[in-house]
Amino acid sequence: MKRITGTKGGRAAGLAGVTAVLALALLSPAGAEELKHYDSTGKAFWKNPPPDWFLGDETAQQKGLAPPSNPALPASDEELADLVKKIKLPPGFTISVYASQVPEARQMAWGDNGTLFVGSFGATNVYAIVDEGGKKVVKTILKGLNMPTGVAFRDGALYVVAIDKILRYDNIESNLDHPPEGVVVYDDMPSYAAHGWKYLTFDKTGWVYVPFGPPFNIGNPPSSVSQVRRVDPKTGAAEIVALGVRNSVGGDIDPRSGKYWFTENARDWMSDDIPSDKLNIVSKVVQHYGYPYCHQGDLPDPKFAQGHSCSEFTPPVLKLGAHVAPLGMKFYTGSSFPAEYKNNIFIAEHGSWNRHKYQGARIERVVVDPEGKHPKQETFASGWIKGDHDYSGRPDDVIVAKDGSLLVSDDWAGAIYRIAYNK
Amino acid sequence: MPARNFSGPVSATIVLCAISLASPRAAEPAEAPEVAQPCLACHGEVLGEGVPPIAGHFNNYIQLQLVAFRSGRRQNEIMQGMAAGLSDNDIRALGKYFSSLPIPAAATQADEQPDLTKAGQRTAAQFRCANCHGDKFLGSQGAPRVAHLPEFYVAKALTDYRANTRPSSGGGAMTEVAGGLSDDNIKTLAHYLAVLP
Repeated sequence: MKRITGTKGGRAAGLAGVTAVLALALLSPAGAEELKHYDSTGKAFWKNPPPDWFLGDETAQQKGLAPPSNPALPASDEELADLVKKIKLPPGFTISVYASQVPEARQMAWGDNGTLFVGSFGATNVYAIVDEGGKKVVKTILKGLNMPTGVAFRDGALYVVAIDKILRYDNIESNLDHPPEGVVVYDDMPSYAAHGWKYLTFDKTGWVYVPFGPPFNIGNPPSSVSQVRRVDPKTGAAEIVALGVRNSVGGDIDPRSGKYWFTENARDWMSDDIPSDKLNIVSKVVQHYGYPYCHQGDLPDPKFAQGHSCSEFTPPVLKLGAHVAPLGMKFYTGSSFPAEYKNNIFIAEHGSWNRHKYQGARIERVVVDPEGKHPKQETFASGWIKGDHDYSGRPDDVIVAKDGSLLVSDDWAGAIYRIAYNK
Repeated sequence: MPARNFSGPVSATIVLCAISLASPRAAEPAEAPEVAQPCLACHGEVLGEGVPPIAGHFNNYIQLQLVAFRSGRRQNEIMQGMAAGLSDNDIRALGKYFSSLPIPAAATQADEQPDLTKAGQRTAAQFRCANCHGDKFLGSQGAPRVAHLPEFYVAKALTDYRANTRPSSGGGAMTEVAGGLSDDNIKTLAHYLAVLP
């Protein structure tokens, strides 16, 4: 198992270890097969990698497909009341608004005392949602963090990942109005924002899984990214769990096996319908999941296969569809949904941004064996897409509540929903 | 005209506002809401010195800027002060009003630096600006109009994005694009965009 050095001087160690010269597809009219080289050995690259994740690989037909701007303000209660009426669910399930006015809400985590912690994207905030006399009150407990998308809770402490730092806030639930200074527990991470927005998943032993996306759409990644690491926040020790991973912003520990599963966003600009985004399982550590050589388990990259065949890599458990953008996921461990939902996976799909007709923006239900065999997928909740190219909301995470209901965070509408089953 | 003086007497603002409302318009804009009156002192038909026009920008773009000023994520002494007391509904009303106004006319003066314009056109192609901002640079859902804006302002905006002192929507897209711009790139782009027809 490959070990990575701990936090002390971690950044320098991480960067020193990177000598790979990036090769990116040169977009030329003739579709030449030559690869464009970027030098990732200098600071400039790491501070500001080329904006290839959204720009540069698009074809003439795809021109104009740009990352959408989220609404400046979270949806009003009136808008949300209207929105939830349009959400389709299986019979017996209902959806309501759990909390509104949660700008750019991302990953959720429960505190031991029932506080719901919520990260955010560009809003720079971390929220704590508490129940005060039956009313959900949203407190902004942290401000000014750099895309603090991922949050987790362990032993009384809140953990927040903000691009290049994992921070710990001790005894947080007793100090929501005066949170302590965050303690950096791990920072051997690049500071670029592109695909640097992260998700945190603790396992039972207290190590936390953290994805490291490449700073571009497609290219030969520097050796310190395109991977999932497992970090021990107590010591700053880290190890690589998975390689060949593009942009992963979601994962969970299987309650049946203790294994880590994760979602992965596939490369862009090949077409509206390929390649498919993925659900993966870590059956053993340091398997290679194919990026940038092979996508969706069976589709060699037209430029970046570079002589590799897909059989060399670990295929996904399930193809989730192209441009659906699977982000947060959780195994259903509650007991108020019908019995067949036990240990199913719920995946929040954020939806497309560069597909001509948006898809995703829904909650998918996956039924699958602990070994990743016999997967079945169906849509559980949908209705957040407006027309071909607009959203009323974009789900990005799910979490099971103590009462067995499923909460859904939405960074477009700035809200948390609650999906319950009513026998 | 003391158009930059936000702390000035309220009556001056009202007088200014009355003047701008009295002007004839081609389109029919929404009536200026009360909350827009202080804005019009600088962002009205007569612009304050160093002040960009906001008329005709997209509703959500205007709201995004106001939210960023209000939270301090976008820093500007005057605008942070102006935005500090705005409610969400104020911001919605301002976005709706200013987006209803016609976009500023193109520059009428002859382009005295056609070489700079050509260089800017090449820079815009190199950095693929039109992919998000459109071939006429009039904007799209994800990106604002960048044509019909003063040259100094476009240069300032790009410089601020490059320094990461101004937040970008769309996943930080402008921070990343501007990160690769040289001073010369910014100069040429600002000129090219400012003289677009």
